[in-house]
Amino acid sequence: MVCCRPLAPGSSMSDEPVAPPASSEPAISVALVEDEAGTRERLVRALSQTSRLCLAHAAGTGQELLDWLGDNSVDVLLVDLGLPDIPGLDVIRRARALSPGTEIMVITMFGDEANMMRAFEAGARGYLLKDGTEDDLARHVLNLHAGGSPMTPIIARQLLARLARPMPAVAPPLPARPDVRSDALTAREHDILVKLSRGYTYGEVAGLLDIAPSTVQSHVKNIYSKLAVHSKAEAIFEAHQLGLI
Amino acid sequence: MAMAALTCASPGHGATVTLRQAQAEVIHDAGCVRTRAVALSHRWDRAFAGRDGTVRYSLLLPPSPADVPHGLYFPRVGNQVEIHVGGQVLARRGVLGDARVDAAKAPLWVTVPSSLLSGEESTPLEVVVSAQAGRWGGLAAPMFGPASDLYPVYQARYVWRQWGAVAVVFSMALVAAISGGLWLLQREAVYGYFALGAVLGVVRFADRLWEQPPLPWPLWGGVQAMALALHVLFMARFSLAMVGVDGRSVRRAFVFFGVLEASAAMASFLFGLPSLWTAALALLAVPSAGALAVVAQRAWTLRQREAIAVCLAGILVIVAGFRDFVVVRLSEDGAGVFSLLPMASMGFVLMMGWLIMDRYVRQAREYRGLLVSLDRKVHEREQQLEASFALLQQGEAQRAALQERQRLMRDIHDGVGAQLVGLLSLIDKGRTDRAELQEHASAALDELRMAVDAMQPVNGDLATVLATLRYRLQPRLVAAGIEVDWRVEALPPMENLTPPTVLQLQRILLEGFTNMLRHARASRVRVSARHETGAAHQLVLEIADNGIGMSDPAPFVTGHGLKNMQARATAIGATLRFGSPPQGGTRVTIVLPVNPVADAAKHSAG
Repeated sequence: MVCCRPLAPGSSMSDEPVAPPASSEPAISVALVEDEAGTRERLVRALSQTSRLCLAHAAGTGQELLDWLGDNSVDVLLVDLGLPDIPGLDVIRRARALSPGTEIMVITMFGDEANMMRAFEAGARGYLLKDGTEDDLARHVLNLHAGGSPMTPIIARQLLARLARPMPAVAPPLPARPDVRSDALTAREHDILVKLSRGYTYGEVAGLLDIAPSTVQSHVKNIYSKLAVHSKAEAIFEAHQLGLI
Repeated sequence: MAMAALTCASPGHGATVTLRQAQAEVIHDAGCVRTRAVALSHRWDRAFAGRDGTVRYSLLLPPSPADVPHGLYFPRVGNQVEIHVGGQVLARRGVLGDARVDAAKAPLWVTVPSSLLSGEESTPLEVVVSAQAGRWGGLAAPMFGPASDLYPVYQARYVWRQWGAVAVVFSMALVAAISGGLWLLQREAVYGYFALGAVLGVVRFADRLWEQPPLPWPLWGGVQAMALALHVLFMARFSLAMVGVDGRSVRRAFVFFGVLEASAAMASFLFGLPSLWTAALALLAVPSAGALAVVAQRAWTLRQREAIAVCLAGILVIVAGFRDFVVVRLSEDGAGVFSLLPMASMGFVLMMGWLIMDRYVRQAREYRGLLVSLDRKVHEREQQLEASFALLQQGEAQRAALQERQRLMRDIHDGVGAQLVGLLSLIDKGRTDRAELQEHASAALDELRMAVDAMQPVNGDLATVLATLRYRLQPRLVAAGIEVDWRVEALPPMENLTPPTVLQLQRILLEGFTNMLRHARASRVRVSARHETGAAHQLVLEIADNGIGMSDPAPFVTGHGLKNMQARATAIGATLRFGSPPQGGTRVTIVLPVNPVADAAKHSAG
């Protein structure tokens, strides 16, 4: 594994729980692919703000990244969805096949929630919005690696509509597919999504539901996994409908 | 008592002879007896028109070898008959004088036992016949000879007469059933005429197979005659209808001839007037020939297949009918001669049956063709409708897209554009205060983010709009050391929460937060959203801080900020209030009416 220079620890302003960096822990290796040079440089700079992260590779095209991934492995991978050569969603799928243990994070324009949902279905577990908050990248990466996944209220709202339970307390008035499969939300997951969609932070949700903040984090992670399962179940369902299987 | 009669027996033993002479002893109803020599065939009706009576015919059978079995063949004898040879009764058909049986319909074979014959001298043959008026009674010249020669002649005759009739009756009944069925299904007159005509034909021609008819004589004779006359009339009418002639005059003529013929036929038999029936038969030539003429004219001018076929078949029937009339009815020697009319009728009926089926099949094909073309037309129309609908939809979509584009341009121009212009003018004025420039730049960025966030699907949930704003502002609030007390309840969906409304709302709220961050010097802010179901359904949003409050004449109070907020609130139908609660700080309240329709829908759905 290639790794890089240790850097000065950065400051985190988040109220979200992050394990404070301990000098004894090994550094987290990161690779990224971003076609726009300026953004790439900013990302690299943001990553270098904490000593706990080390940049292993910064690629400009999807193919370059996948080639590199063939011989290397990293803890966290950052993928821009709008790559010129290979669609970002394909890069995510192939990267997951190459290196199943890698946490994948999407770099995307803000407001592109629909694509983000598809990225989650493809296997991404976190995202970074190119909206000027790139400075928080290090914190997001550390969070992701520590088991946390971010979720905006809009994504929470869309997940509610997509993974709706048959009888939720506050049902989004959307036509949802009848879901009695294993990818349906549990009552607790549903409550968490409802609170997140109303703007409560992870910490506040934990307080309201009287559970540990880390439990909220793992619930959110489960919900993202369900989205991947859900998309597979949908694919199977649709294949049935089309008479393919 | 009759004396030995002369016979035309040919000389030579063992040959077949036809007996053409007899002594006839006639017993009238009146009781008068008269004996005279007659030539065979002898027809009662011709000799004693309109009367019933009994005749004893005495003939002589020529000497014949006793070792060869002999027999007598009567082509026609009736109506009831007893046959004696050598004084012994050999055969009986019916009871003499009892009109129920008509033996004259079928030829008769009588085997003569050798013991009754002599090789040397003639043997007396007595044929006693009782006849009814108009029933074709009498005796046709019988034949005598060895059974081996004569029986096949009888049999051929029998087969022709009987099985021929069976064939005619059966085929007529079949086509009658078919065309009757077609008439039931289609109610077309042409099928009805044919079915009735064929049924009458069946009644008429089946009589031959019926030695003991269902009605007493002479009523049955009348019915038979009527059936024949009406059969001919119906066929004539059918022929006309087939070529498309079925008007009022045809109906009148049909009714006229029908009544005339039927009453003449019945009267002729009931009152014993055979000449009346003969006249009626002759009169039938008028409608038949008339119909044939019309059909022939059509066949000639239109070259219609039907017309030609009907014409040929009609000619056949008329020729046969004329021939029968002349040979059977008028000639002296009618009895025992084949009538051709049944055969011609069968030909006619079969041909018409074929025509009818052909017509039906053609009609069915036409209907199918019509159906197909109708189907095609419907399909075409459907496609046209779909196309115009798609066009309409496209136009609608284009219009909606254009409106949305115009709105976006206006938003960008008024929002980010205005901010950037302000920033540029600061730079132009040479202002280089870093904090001031940064504030303007981040305001421009905020404006851009809000414009994008406003486009996100929020499913009518105002809470999500608030949440998104918090997600954007949280880092700044944290950086400013302001603690957030977030109290957002579950809110009912708002149907009118469109992107423009969301954007205006976001701008109002951002303005409120920005003012607080800039001027309030607060350490804590409480953001709450609740649903009020009082007199009016409404959503109440509140931002309350613990800062210095509005009583302090801060510069923003008089600035454009509040006016802008008010204007935006009015634009989306909301009410905006500023307040300074007694415990201090500033409170901004926004009240939004909930669309009652959406509210009702939500409750009924829940």
